[in-house]
Amino acid sequence: MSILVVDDSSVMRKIVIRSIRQAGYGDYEVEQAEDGAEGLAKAKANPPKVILSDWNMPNMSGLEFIQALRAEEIMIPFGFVTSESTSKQKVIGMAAGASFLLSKPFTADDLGDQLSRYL
Amino acid sequence: MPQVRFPEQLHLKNLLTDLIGKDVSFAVDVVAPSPTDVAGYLTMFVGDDDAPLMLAAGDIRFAHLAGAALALIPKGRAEDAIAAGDADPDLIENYREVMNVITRAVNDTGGAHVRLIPGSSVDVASLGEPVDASGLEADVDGYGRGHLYFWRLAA
Repeated sequence: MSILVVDDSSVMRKIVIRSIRQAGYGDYEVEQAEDGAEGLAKAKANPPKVILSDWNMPNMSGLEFIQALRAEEIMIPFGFVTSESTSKQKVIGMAAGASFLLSKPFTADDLGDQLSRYL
Repeated sequence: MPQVRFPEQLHLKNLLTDLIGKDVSFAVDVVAPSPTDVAGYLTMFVGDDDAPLMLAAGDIRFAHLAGAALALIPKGRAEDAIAAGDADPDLIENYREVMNVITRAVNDTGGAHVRLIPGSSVDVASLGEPVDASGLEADVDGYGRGHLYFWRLAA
């Protein structure tokens, strides 16, 4: 049982992982990736229960990441954790198949509310 | 297409306080230097068509102090880097995430939608003179004060 956290910022990955634990999901293993391309490889090699991904990343963005997953019919629940917060971006993300979009900054409760729907 | 707008001080305060977990206040307006002269770390925001719309920079103090506070790193490490004039790579990477969240404050104004270019190096000279500028003094509780600047670019 694992959660995949994808963000090009190492400190933000740490904050997300800390929030996962604070939200009560510390029993889950957490895999990390620095961009969508690495996340895609890890998701295919060892499918997680949930993917938490940044939107803006080098090499492969979060949007390209979920589009690549869905193109291969990999339907793992996918949440954006991003500074993108406009309604337009939410529509684009959900249309691509995301389950939710959590805007930075967020609280552990915010994250826990979303994770509880999938874990 | 709407123009990009400067983020509101109260929204910046709320976002950065929530992100860092310490009170971040913006109390004093300061004169922003030219982006070519700023002693700090520049970030570029582009519109949906990739056109540069805004520059922002934290000065050396803000970048290191905010970067340290975000990861609960003792402020002494930031102060050492500031005193030595040497960028601490870990703290600057953390500061980049602070600027990433500031993207939200810019977008929440209802002006033009922008995104931060990941890992970009900004060629300021090629962008021309900014249209206008905004300078703020930021106080990160328990860490100290630094400056944050914004420059709007000609569309």
